[in-house]
Amino acid sequence: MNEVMQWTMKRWVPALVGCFLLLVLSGCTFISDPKTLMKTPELSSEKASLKSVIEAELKGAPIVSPRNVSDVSAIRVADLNKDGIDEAVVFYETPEETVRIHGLILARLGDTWEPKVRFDGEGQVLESFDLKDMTGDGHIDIIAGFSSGDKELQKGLTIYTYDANEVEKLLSLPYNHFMIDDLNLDSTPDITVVTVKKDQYSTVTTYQYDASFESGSFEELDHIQLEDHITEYYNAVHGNITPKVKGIILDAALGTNDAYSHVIVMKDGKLVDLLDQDFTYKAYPIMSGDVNDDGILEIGRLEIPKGWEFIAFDEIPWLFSYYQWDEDKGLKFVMQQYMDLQGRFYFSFPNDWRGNVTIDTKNSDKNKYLRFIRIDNNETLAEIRFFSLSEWERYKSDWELLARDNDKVIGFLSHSELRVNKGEKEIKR
Amino acid sequence: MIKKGIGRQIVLHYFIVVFVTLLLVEGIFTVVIRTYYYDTIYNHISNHSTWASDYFQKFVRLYAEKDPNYFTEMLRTFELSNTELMILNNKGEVKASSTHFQADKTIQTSDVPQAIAGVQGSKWIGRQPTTGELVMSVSTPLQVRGENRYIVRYVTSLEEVNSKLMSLTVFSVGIAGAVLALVTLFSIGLANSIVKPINNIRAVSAQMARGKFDVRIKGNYKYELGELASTLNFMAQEIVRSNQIKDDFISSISHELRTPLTGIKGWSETLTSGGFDPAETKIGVGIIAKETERLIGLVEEILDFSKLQQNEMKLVIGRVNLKELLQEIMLNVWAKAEQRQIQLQLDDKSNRTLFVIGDGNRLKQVFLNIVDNAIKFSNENSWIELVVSLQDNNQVLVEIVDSGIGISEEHLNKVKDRFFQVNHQGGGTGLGLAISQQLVELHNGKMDIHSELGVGTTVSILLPLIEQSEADEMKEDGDNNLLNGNQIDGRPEGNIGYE
Repeated sequence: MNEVMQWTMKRWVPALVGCFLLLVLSGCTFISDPKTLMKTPELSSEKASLKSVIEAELKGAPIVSPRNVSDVSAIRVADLNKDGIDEAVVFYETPEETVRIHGLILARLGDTWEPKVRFDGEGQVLESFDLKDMTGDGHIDIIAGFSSGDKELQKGLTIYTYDANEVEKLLSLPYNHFMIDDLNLDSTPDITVVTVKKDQYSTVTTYQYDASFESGSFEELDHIQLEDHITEYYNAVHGNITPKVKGIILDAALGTNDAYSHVIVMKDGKLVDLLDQDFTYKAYPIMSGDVNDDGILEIGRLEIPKGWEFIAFDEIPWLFSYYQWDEDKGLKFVMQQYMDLQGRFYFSFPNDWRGNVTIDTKNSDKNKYLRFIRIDNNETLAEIRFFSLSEWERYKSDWELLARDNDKVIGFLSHSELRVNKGEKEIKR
Repeated sequence: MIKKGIGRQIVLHYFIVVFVTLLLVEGIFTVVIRTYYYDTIYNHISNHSTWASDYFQKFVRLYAEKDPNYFTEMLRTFELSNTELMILNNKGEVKASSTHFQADKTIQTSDVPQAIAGVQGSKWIGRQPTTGELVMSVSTPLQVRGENRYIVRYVTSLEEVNSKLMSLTVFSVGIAGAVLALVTLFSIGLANSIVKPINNIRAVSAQMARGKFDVRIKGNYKYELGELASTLNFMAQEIVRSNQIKDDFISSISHELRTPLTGIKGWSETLTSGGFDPAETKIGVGIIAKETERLIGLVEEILDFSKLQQNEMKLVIGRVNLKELLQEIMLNVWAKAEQRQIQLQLDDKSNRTLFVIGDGNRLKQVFLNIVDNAIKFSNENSWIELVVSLQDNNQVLVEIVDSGIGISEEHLNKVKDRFFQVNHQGGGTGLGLAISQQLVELHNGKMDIHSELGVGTTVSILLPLIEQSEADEMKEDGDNNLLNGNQIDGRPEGNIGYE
């Protein structure tokens, strides 16, 4: 035993101490912070090689992402010149040069990518970036919107086309809003540009590519001038106005509260503003759009709930009503909802509530408590209430959660069959 | 390798115990460390997304989605280093991503539907379909107007974590291996500490088995091993001693046998040569007869002893009147005592007739032997007292008390051994007390010797009595019948009163 002990002491203790010292002195901490071991996931090999080629090519210049609402990705891949080989398009920034924004087109070369063409952008900021065939020849065009970065100034729209060797500018226009759609319903895309002459008027112009000439160019189909003394349209949407007709809706605000909308369609090659301002007037700038997800755009209007007519403007719990345009009737009511003006929640009414339901004027305060009652018999149909977090614990078994933030919970209590944020008829906006 | 045996067994047991323990510890460690790493990362991401969504929601305006900066700002707010950030709509489509690329398709991992259903920080761990990289994704719904409108999804690679976990596991396995090796070494040491003495003892006992009783187990062992060693040593010593005793017996018995034979031979030769007067012839023949008788006595004693040794002594069982027996004995030795002027006295303290079950002749032999010894070792003009007294449990105690030379303490333990004689010159076989002892025991009795050197010796014999009533019945049956006898086997399984 003792011999073994001695042997153990002689050999093992130094060995163990050695291991321990090696571990400590090597600086390798046994248990490191897991957070430091996190790593951005790898891109797929194709993307990774494209990215590395781009990065090598740009020599440190930053890639610019567009401020598109729909797609903010900076690197797009498509077959631009219809040659069966993918091209990649990317915009980048060179803050020190006179031309600030540049585009770079790369073509796939086996497993890697080869830079093909660089081209100059127009402004300081890349506002939008789309790839779409605008000419009908199968070549996918680059539609880029640039701006100076100043909101007040007009932006510039440029359409580029690429044919293996060079990039050609097809169109260059000033704009405030542009939309690519098919307003004249001829199955060829057209582009509609809205320009605002500040506080004077605005112009809506529709262009379409005309390939009948030898060189081919964008030709104006029509334009319309709108007498809007505004700085900008706070919202511009395009799409189906009726199931058959396509058009655009522009929401204009006069000052902070008063607003109205234009509905513009193309009739027989002419742009027409369908409605008078008075029909679309609203006391608060509501956005038009496809609120009920039926594929047709709606215009919003405000209604004062019955009984609140003589109460201060700021205290009125406005009801939002949405209308679609109808060729025969003009505006057609679609749906009504209560919308919290701070954007915390909304509550869509069942269709039969319209005209029959109001908000109780006595106890309601739109930041504390709302009681929806029938006008004829004062029956309470639903309640919305703002709870503190501790109160909510007591009420949560009966009330439905509508929204929650750091210091309060908004709850909903229905006295009929309604459900909030569920079921399609009352909730879609 | 350790050779087969207890040592290997011990080492193996240690090894198994430690191995299983380490295996369990290792398993628990691996699970715990993995949970710790994954949970820390998950909490890091989840906390960040909770914080960021609170922060972001304060800046969400009513129609902010139409703001061109919406997703750019969102990406910047939610950005977390070392993760890929995605903003998904409530259909699982990627609206924006921190990579510069368009997303390929809708995300279908389980975290997204959970987040759409409103679960904060739902987690998914799995392999990326495109790269096969192991990743963790954490998705949190982002409420806009009380509706889960967007999903914020973070993806981080777990490859480095896993390789760290791997190296930690390898390292801990290494440590466990080192511990196992260390413990095995210790257990070898421990096994040796047990096996070495056992081997030593075994070797010595093997030598003893071959007859070398002079070897002794050396070394200072502890506990059971120490006891075993000293027992073996003692055994060897005892074997040597009893051999010695036997040798002594053989030499003394040879002497004893030769002495009468010498006398017989001398006289028979003398008588053969003839020419003696009848008186002288009578003396010679008398001596021959006396010596022959002595020889027979000796041989009988040895025969008795060997019978007792082999449990073949047959007792003729009957009812024995103890007092009569003692008086008879006193008469028998009277002449011898008278010769040495020794007084014999029976002191009866029982005041009743005492019957014992037993073989009268054998009991007589026992008492004769003891009284004879008392006479032999008493000084002239002394007295010997036979005390009979009743004891509890229906027993009778007979004490033969002399005031003779006594026995020293060291010899006292051995006097009842076979062949032991304090003084070999005295003649005899040294079997007397041993035979007496065994005979008393055959009668379910007990014999004790108390003695003090120079003061005297007391031999006490305890015998079971027949019940008073039984004794009376028996008395009626056949009085004065000392030897009425069914002869029975003297072995303990005999049928009367023997256990």
